[in-house]
Amino acid sequence: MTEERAADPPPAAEVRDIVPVVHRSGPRLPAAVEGPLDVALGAAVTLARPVVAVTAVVGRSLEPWARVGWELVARPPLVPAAWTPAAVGARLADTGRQVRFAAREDATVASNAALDVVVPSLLDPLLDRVDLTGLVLARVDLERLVGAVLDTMDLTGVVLDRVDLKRIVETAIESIDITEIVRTQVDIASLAEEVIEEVNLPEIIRESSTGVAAEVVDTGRLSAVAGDELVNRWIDRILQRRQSRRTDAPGRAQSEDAMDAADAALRDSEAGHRG
Amino acid sequence: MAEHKTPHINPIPPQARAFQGLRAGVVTRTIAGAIDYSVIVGLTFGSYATVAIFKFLLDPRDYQLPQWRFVVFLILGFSYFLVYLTVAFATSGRTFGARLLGLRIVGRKGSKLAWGTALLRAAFCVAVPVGLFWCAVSRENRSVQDLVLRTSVIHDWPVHQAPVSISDAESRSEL
Repeated sequence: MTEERAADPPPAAEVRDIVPVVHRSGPRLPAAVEGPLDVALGAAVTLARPVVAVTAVVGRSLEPWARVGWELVARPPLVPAAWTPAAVGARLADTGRQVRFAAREDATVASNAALDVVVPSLLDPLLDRVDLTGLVLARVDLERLVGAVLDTMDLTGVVLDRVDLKRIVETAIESIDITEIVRTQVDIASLAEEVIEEVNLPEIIRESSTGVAAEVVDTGRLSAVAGDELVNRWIDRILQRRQSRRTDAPGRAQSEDAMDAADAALRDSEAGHRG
Repeated sequence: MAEHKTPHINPIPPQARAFQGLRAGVVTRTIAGAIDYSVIVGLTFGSYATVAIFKFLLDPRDYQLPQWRFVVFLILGFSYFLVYLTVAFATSGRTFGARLLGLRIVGRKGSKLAWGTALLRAAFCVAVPVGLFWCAVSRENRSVQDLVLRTSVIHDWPVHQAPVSISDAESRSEL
């Protein structure tokens, strides 16, 4: 089954049907508010653009002065290096970083503990309110999912490992009538005839009932027939015949009629028993 | 659902089934004819012996073997042969030789010969026995008698008893 799926993926149209396209749309403001708001926004942007441009020019021209001023503040001259605002700030930053890392681990532990408590208590009522089965059926391509799962697992191995096959077979055999099934579904007569032909039962019966004399007669007849064929071949060769002889005769052999009559008699007797 | 039928054991050996119902060749028919001739010869000399014995019983003192001329043997033999063949052709379709060799004489449509046809064929066989050998030349394995009277001599091994069915065998084994 999984091989079939792998060889025959679902067509593109089917995939589009299964995976719906979600169109997102934000909330809309009332029309009475949208108009003035747009006007106000346009005015603000129009005024802000020159202000931002002027500010940027001023900022770029003042940047070298600001950098020198910051250097003077951070590392003032005549102050020991360890006591400059920059050094003090660096030490404070180290301390803060250590605190932050320690707090992160504590926060992780605390948040996990909180989730252990909160999630189960939230999830149960949440799931009670959601038709999860319906959701999965509507949203999940189950065929693809099952196919992927079956592709990855050895189903035969799982059945052999997990299933008590002996018990299943025994239960099945107990519950069905095999004899009746064979009697109704199998052509026993044809089977028996094949077996009889295979073991040459007529020969065995003849040998046991009529003995050597019948065998001698059969052998003599077959030899005579072989002689017929030999003579026919010679004569046909002398006469330069290319076609074989037409030895079909009207009517049938009595042995064939006897077989048919026996069949008919048995059919009649079986019909009589049923009637 | 499978069709149910009772299997039968065909008494004809498998290697002989292929030619059942086909016209026989010259060797088989000649052997059968020779056996029939032997029967008639035996019957003729048996008749002579019977007459001789009766004659001895009637007059043992002046007993002499009956003096039959050869033509008497011929007429008696041909008469026996004619009756023998006619009865055989018209009843079972098998002479003794034909039965032994697994042959049967059939008419134009595969049926038994009528008494008239049987008599004609018997007379033909007695008068022109050499006509048998035409079946070696004939493309249809027919003798002169067969060609004239539209008869056929076919392989038809006699079935002494009805084909044995498996259910018959089972019922017998229960007895």
